Formats: sequence, C-alpha cells, structure tokens
Amino acid sequence: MSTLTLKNIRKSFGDVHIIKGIELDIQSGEFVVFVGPSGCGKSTLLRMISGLETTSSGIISIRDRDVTHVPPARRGIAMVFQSYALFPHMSVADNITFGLRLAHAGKDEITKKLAEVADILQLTPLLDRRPKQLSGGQRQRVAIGRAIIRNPDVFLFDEPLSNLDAALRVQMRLEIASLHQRLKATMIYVTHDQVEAMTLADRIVVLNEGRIEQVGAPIDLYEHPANRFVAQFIGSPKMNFLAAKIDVVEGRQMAVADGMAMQLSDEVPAQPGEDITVGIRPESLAIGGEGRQICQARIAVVERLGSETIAYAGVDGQEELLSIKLPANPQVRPGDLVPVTMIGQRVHVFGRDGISIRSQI
Amino acid sequence: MEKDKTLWRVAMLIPPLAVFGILVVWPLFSSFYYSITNWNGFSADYRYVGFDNFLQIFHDPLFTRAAVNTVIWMLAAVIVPTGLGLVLALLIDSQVPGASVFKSIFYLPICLSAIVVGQIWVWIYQPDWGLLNTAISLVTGGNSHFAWLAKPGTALYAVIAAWSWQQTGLAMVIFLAGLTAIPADLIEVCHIEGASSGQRIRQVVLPLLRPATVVVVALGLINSLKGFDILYIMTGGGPFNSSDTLAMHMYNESFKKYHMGYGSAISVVLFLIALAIIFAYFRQLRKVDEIYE
Ligand SMILES: Nc1ncnc2c1ncn2[C@@H]1O[C@H](COP(=O)(O)OP(=O)(O)OP(=O)(O)O)[C@@H](O)[C@H]1O
Ligand SMILES: [Mg+2]
Repeated sequence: MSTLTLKNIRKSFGDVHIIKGIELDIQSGEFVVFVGPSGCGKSTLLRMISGLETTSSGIISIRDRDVTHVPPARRGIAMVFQSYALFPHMSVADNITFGLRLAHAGKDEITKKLAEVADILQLTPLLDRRPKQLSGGQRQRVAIGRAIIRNPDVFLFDEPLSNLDAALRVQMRLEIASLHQRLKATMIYVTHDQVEAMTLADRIVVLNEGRIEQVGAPIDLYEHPANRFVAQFIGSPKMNFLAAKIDVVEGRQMAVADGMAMQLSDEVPAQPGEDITVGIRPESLAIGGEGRQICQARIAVVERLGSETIAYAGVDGQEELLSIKLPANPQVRPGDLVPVTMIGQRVHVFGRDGISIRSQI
Repeated sequence: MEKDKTLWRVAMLIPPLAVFGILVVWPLFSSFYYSITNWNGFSADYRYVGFDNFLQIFHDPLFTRAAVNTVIWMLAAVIVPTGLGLVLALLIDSQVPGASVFKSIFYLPICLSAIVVGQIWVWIYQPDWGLLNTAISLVTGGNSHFAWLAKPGTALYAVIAAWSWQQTGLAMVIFLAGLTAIPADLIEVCHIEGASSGQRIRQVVLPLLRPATVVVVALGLINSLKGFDILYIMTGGGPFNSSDTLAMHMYNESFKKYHMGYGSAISVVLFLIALAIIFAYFRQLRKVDEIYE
C-alpha cells in the first residue's frame, strides 16, 4: 500500500521554478532518502510534503487522501529539523509532549506515551532537563521523540545529523536505522551525505535542479546509474569519467582515446567514431597486477586513509585526474609512471547527452 | 609608546568624565548633603538639621499623594505602552496589510521631545476646540467641553494617555526585534503540532519574548521615573496637586517654595527607589541569561 503519492508536484517562488514536476510513490514502511547537491530543492520538496510550504501545482496524497491544501498538523506527518527546533523554555518532557498537551490529551495518556517514547530513545533520565543542558545527539533524540509521539503516517527528516560531529553522526545513523526497523514507519530523509543515503535508504531519490534524476535502491543506483549526474553523485570517491570514442578493432567494440584502449565486454548501441564518456569507479581500477591494462598514468597525489589509499593520477589527453582506490599501504609515490589496470569489468558508457547508453557488468 | 597611549587615553577620558562629574556626581552628592540641612536654595545662612527633612516626609500629605500618584504613574506608564506595544508588534509581525507603514507611523512619536508631545496633547485636550472634545461631540451629538487637564479626577490619566501614545512605539520596535529573533523553525513546529494562534502566542511566543519584555519593562520604568517634562508641560502637577508625582513634588518644594533641603531629601528617596528598581532589573536580566544562551 502506498503511503505517500506525489503527482506532478511543482513549486515556484515568484518567477523562479524550484520544483519542476516530481512524480513519486512511496510505499508504507519505506525509508526513502532524498539526495542532491545544495540548492536542488530537497528541503523545499520535504517542506511541501509537510505543508509548511504551499504547493504551486500538483497533488500530494497521504494514505490516499489528498492533502495538498491541508494544514501541516492534519496531514499525519511529523518533522525533525536539522536545528532540532526544541523550545528552550520547556523541559525535555514538555518538548516531547507539546502536541499532546496542545490537543488537551488526558494526563494518563500523556504520561504513558511519554514513558514509552523516552524508553525507546533512552531519554528517561533526561526528562526534566532543559534543551540547553543536553548534548547535540541528545537534543536530536528529543526532537525525534517529539515526532514519534505523534504516531505519524510519515516521518520527515531534514538533514537531522548535519549539526553533529562525525562520531556522533555514525551513532545516530545507526539509531535511526534501528528506529525505522522497530517502528516500521514510513520515513523520508533529506541528506547530502551519501553514506547516510546509501546506508539508511530502501530507495534513494536523486534530485537535481528540482527534478528527479533517478529513483532506486542504493545498490541499483551504484551499479546502474541512469546518467552521469547520478553516477558521479553516488559513490565515494566519485566515478572517473574518461572522454573516448567508439572504435571497432578486429570485430570487437572498443573505447579508445589517446594512449588508452578499453574493450567493452558487451556491445553497446553506438556507432564507430561516436563520442562517448566512459565511467569507471575508482574501486574498479588498480595499479599493475593481473587486470587488463587500460593506460599509463602519472601519480599526482596519494591520500593514505589507513584502511585504504586513494591515488590521483594524470592521463595524457584527459582533463581530470583519475582516482584509483588501492589497498591499505601500496608502494606508490607522486611522480611515478604506473600502468592502470581494470579489475572486474564494471565500465559505464554515457552518450554525449550524459545518459547511460548501457551499463555493463 | 605604550605610555603615550595611556596618556592619550586619559586625556580623551577627562572631558566626558568631567561633564559627568559636574552634572551628575556632584549634584548627587550635594543633594545628599543638602538633604540634611535647611538650605533655601540661595541664602548662605543654613544649618544642619539631621534627619528632620526625612521625618517631615511622613507628615507631608502632599508627599503621600505624590507617592501614590508616582506608583499609579509608573504602573500605568509601564503596563500600557508595554501591552499596546506587544499587541501592535504581534499584529505587524503577522503581516496584516500595510504593516510596514503602520510600523513607521507608530514609531514616529518616539522621535518627538516630551515637550512637543505634551503640547500636542494639551491641544488635543483643549476644552473648546480640542480634538478629543470635538470627536466626543461628533459621536454623541452633544456639545462636550470637558477640561480633561483641569479636573483632578482626569488630569493624571490624561497625561498617562499622552505618555503612552509616545512610548508605545518604543515598546513595539523592541518587541518586533524580539519576534524576529525567534527562530522560524520553532514557529513551524507550532504549525506541525497543531497549535492555534492563541496557543502559539501564549506557550511559545510570549515565553521566548521574555528577554525583550525585560528590556521594555526596564526602559519603561526608567523612562517613567524620568517622566517629569511631560507632566510639567501638561499640568505642572495640578490641579490642586492632583497629578503631582515625586519628581514634580520635589521640583515644587525645591524651586517654587525654596525648601531646597526638604526637596533634596525627596530626591534622595527617589534616588533610592531608582536604585532598587535597577538592582531588580539586573537580577531579572541574569535569570533570563540563564535560560537562553
Ligand atoms: N522562500 C524562498 N524564496 C525564494 N527562494 C527560495 C525559498 N526557499 C528556497 N528557495 C530557493 O530554492 C532553492 C532550493 O532550496 P532548498 O532549501 O530546497 O535546497 P536544498 O536542496 O535543501 O539545499 P541544501 O542542501 O543546501 O539544504 C534554492 O535555490 C533556494 O535559494
Ligand atoms: Mg536543505
């Protein structure tokens, strides 16, 4: 059953079109993550779903009810803000039960629900404190508590972890994941952190300039990006793009460029001589070893991260440095001229318009 | 070099300190001194009278009346502009049409001196052709010639109205600034949680406006303590001392009746009241700081 349906949703501020026709169907219990570059309209879209922002045209339905013009409180949503948005003059308990108290819920009901929520989020010892006396992670848990107690049809999160430091972010990410499993609730989560997107999402919605570029399971987006935009947005370090041409050598289709030749394992529907872009993930490349050599490259920078090393290497005729993911501590130094090889056959071919011609495995 | 700078700093500080010393500190201590003498304001012949002046205060019916009026004056001069200012700020903030025009209009009176405001309202209250009586005549169809400032029952309140008219703008802009300082997402939480506008204002906006309120009330208190000029212009404390405040009473005793010693004693009492208010104010400020930071 679908919980949330967006039909041709649009939003403009004056003459500026921000959301340019979004179609999306979200199933009950799904965890959907909106990702995209800054300013692409993620927050705007989320706020339109919440009702905090009006919708210029299109229809938003929650549980098959048209809520396009329903005020936020009666849409069956709850929202968690990046800034936590806790009331500084209220205790944790009062913050969490704010909505119940507004609705004049009974004392027993409030106490019971508060105890449940506080238990889920381990906030019980903190209920009497003011937000100011809490750490960032605790504050965000209070904000999540305020959302849970509403028992909404859809949870909306707008970059809830961006204000936390790296370690806490990982911990809270896990907590949100287990919360989702426990509540089996529908959640929409906005982030620009693609690790959060990959780890949390059942499905990722990649947005760019107010349009959906691709929707799919994290692994689908990683393995079958529909276009260059998605390909470079999902995965870290980002995918390498090499300018090349299609050629046929001894009856086999190849991608060729200066000093570089790659055999394409499957035929792609492209004519010899056609300009293409080849996309190769850094983790599909190696230096030397057993893979097929595709080119020579000169190492420019080596970043040693401990568990892995990223080498950036220049290839003649290519504008961008090639990034190559290497094991922990390889013997490479800047200045070395090295043979770059392919491990596996994961090559993505994009046409001149940036659309994937066919991704190959 | 460092020493040069120090000299320079001292040199720059001397003029303002001198002015402050001559116009504030010196008179302050002289009034302490004169409050225990029977000086008449000009004669060189005066003597020490101990606490007689202060004791006299208890037997002075005019003092009691002025003290009562001062309390009424201060309460009204704080509550009315604060309340009206808050209501106006909330209305303007809720984007009623023409909000920014109203904002300027309401703020305008604060730019006028109390003397000008006083004179404007003297005309408004004028019995024969004043705006107020004319308006009342028009509405009731009668012929109103009420002398608002000349009747003991209305004089003080008429001045309070004029004062509030001027001070409301100040309260309004401070509240508006306070409203702008409330994070937008807190208001959005109210929308999501389904707060009515009444609930939003009572449970969220007003508590978060507490810092602004402390400032408005403190300024109101301090301004009302200083609010002598408008009374002086509009009623001079009359009729029959009905609109006397302590400041007015002190002025009359010192400069009209030439009881400079007694007047000084009243000024010392006023000074202590002001001091107490300022202390209370700072304590309140600290409490606010504890909640918001
Ligand atoms: N109230 C508004 N009036 C005019 N333009 C707006 C308004 N709100 C947002 N925008 C514009 O809409 C675009 C999308 O903004 P939005 O906040 O949705 O981006 P975002 O994807 O959430 O970005 P970020 O990752 O930085 O949070 C931006 O260009 C922004 O300037
Ligand atoms: Mg955003």
